[in-house]
Amino acid sequence: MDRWQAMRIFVKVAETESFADTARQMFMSAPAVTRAVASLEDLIGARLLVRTTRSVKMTEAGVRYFEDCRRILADIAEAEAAAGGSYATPTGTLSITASALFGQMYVLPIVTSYLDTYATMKAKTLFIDRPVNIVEEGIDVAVRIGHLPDSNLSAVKVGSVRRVMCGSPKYFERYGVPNSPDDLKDHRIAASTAAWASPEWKFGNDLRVFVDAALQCNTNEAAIQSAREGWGLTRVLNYQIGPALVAGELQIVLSEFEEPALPIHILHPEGRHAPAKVRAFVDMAASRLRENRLLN
Amino acid sequence: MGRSPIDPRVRLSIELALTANNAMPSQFAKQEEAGRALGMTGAEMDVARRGSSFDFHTSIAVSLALHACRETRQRARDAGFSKETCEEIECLALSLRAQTA
Repeated sequence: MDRWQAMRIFVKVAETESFADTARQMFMSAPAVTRAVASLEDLIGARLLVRTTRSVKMTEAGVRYFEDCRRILADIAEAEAAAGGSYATPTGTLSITASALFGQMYVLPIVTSYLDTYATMKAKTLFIDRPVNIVEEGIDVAVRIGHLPDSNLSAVKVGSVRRVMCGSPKYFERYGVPNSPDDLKDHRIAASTAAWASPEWKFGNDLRVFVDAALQCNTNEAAIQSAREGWGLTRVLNYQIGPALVAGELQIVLSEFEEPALPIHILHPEGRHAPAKVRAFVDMAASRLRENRLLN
Repeated sequence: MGRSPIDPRVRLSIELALTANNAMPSQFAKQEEAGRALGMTGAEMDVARRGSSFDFHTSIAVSLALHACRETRQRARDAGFSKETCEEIECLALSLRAQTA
């Protein structure tokens, strides 16, 4: 067996922590996987994996070798892709990340259009409300909301969003409308803790207000739903309530106290040398998001 | 109450509502540009052209500008607009109607 294949098998065992799963995923027998890893360990002269009855863990040498293998195998894949023309034609699998709701509402339709356009492509989405290290987690493209830290990633601005206070017409009719952030203490608040758990809310001009939310929701959707039903006011990013605003189910208040808008960027790691699958997606996503009048 | 809603975004929303049916393409483009400069989204301008707003107070101001009557005046007063502000909105609407007539 060639050394690259043995390295691929070792990386897969390290990722799955299982010889049996690796064998299944790589269409091999379990003894063949064991032999490949053993021959690699003999070649290197160091133990890479520790097998227990329940799982497989990497040794310290194994962890270092795992990182090197991933880098080397990625370089090989890139070289093969370049030679095979994937810099001209999108091929393979594209991994995309975005925050949960933005991904679902605005990125997913672009991903499905992309798959319709490039029939040989596959895609993986990671729509999640936590920071994702796109290099370490093997992500091709990220859509990020907010100001970007300095990095080597290529960024394309595609829109902006505002953090808005909103409620339903039914709520305003019954409980009145806040005219300043200080008035929020007299209102029923449904706070989303998905992205901001602090009771201190920041408004424009560095105005800060402590909000005693009667309802704390762990998802944005739940906070928005309670506002739509007229239970209380909530504070979210305006893209999250775009359809409800258009339908007149929610209205914005305290807009004169909003913080400056936050930019939306598409990020990818490879700059001008990005493979065709990334460039094609970034072009399509940038065009579609810039055309979206809720974001621009 | 002394709430003054005639900030530039409210003013533009009223203009968009009143000129929606007869704006020339050049005027439409100018309005889009002005809206973007004020931080409005395209969707906010679209809804203003339909006579409403995503913003509670702006929607009341637009409604008063489009249909000044006892009911819309009372609604504006209930939302905290001063009598002077209501008059200013109605004057602005008359002026815009005269320009587009």
